[in-house]
Amino acid sequence: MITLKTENLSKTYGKGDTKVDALIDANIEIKQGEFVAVVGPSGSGKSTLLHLLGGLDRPTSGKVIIDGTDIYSLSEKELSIFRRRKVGFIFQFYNLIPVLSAEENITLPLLLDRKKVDKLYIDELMGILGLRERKNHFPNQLSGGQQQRVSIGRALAYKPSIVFADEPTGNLDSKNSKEVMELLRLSVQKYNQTLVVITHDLDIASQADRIIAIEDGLIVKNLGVR
Amino acid sequence: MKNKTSAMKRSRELAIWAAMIISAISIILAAWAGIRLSYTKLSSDLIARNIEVIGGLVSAHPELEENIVNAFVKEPTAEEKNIGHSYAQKYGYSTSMPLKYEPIMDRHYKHILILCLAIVGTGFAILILLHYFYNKLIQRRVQLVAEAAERIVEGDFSSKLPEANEGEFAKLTHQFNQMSRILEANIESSKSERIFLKNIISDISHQLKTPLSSLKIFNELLMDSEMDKGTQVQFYEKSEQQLERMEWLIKNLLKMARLEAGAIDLHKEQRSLEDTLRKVLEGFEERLEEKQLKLDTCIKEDISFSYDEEWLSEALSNILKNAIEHSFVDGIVEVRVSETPVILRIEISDTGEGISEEDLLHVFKRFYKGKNSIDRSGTGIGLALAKAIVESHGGLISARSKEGQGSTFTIVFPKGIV
Repeated sequence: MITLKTENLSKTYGKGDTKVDALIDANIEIKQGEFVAVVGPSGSGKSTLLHLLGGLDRPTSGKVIIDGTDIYSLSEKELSIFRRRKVGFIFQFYNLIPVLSAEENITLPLLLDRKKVDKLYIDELMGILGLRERKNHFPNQLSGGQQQRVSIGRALAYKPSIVFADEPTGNLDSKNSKEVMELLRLSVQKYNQTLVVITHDLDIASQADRIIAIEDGLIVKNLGVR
Repeated sequence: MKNKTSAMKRSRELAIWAAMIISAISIILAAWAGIRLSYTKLSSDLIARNIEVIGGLVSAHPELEENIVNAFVKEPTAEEKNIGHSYAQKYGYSTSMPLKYEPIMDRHYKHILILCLAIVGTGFAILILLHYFYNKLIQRRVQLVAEAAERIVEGDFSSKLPEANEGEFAKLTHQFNQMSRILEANIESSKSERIFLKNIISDISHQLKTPLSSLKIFNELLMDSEMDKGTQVQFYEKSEQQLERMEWLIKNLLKMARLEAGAIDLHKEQRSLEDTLRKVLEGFEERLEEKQLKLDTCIKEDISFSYDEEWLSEALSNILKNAIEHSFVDGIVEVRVSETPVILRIEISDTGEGISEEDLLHVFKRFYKGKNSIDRSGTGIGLALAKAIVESHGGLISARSKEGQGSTFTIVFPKGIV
């Protein structure tokens, strides 16, 4: 089942002489449960693509359809609610809230929606991520790898259908990045979620079900299994 | 379009709420103003009458002017009150007289009654009207959900309810859409399962047909008695090989089918991973020697977790078998077990021919054989079975490879779920 689809998705920055085509006519289909790696050199448009797919930016033209909803037909406010419920984000620099504990950071998306916290699920999630003993620690008391694990927990707290990760291991050493990627994949596999990861790490990319390669805003390779 | 209508619905709901609050406040204000106005009028009417009485009495008895006025503006003594009552009683004028005999009070009573009824009546009318509109709004929403449910019953999953809003209704529509998506996914997966079943049946029959037809030919040849003893033995040996292949295939297909159908209870027990691995590796000594492969192990001791030994051994054996099969003679097979505070990891690597980038995407698919791989005894089921076993233990299996240099298979288990 196709969970995410783009139609001639394009993004242009600037005008006239300073015009930059960050993404040109991207047509992608991603199925439920797929693990997709987006690769390409710096400045090739990877992050632009990910931000557009996740509703963090607005395209110059084209559509992004997630679970049947054209997300850019929504108003700014609706889009932010949509993001909260439908997609999870993991960033290179974790973006945790420093005054909240690990557990509070994880449950934040639920609290924002005044939704009852499914304690069993959150506990299970923290178990997989190895955070049970650290749930009352604040971000500055955690290592980089642990902080990224907390942000994985936050991304999965609302049981989103898609998780987007922008260089999730870009700030970690090789030992920690291996662990973080394995935990991320274990969690999305367990809850049958779709995972889209931007990465420079060819090792990570080689394990994906689909590899999308971008160069100069154009999708040059879209190789998938399913 | 959809978002516009949902925004409109939202503002309509707000408008009804605002109207309710505003009308409630204005009703209270109107009641207060009306009652105050009526009583002011009543009070001025009473004073006017008193003044008329003063006028009448003073003109009749000018010498009593001070007494008469004082009687109206000063508090009377108890004695004066009693005398008043007894004099008035004589003319039938008392406090228990019916309302209608007091013209001022009677007139005002009617006014105030009408005023109160009017205020309460309008209040009720407004609230009923607003309640009606509010109900209608909710009804329309419920209808929306009912219609969507009907479409789903008819098998149309295309339309989604507006869900990107705050509030309980949006949470309902969100969960509704979620439900519809899961239903759709289930239907789709059962459809693809049917296609898969069709494919698997044709695959199995194909896989079994080849050894079966070989066996048939061998059998026919063996029936020809003119064959010398040596050739006969050769054919018997070949037959045995084919029989073994068929047996292995049938056994593993059954295992996989049972595992995937969830018809197996894993007998998970806390065990030493090292012991299990050593046992598995023992079984491969002969084959390693045959190919002159060096076995390199780096197994962290005292790692124990809860797993089903028989099944996990099966998975590990299949990966090892694959590694040995694809190794060049004189190569190295490496088995490493390591752990971090959150996960434990088993890595099995070889220095064999490796897997191409494209094949790597399919390496765990059932019956998938590499595009360029020469058919050995491989059936394309061993790794698929390994994946099914690892995943049923809540683990993750992945493969990395460089063509010409070898492959590494990694199994990861999270320690947090047992």
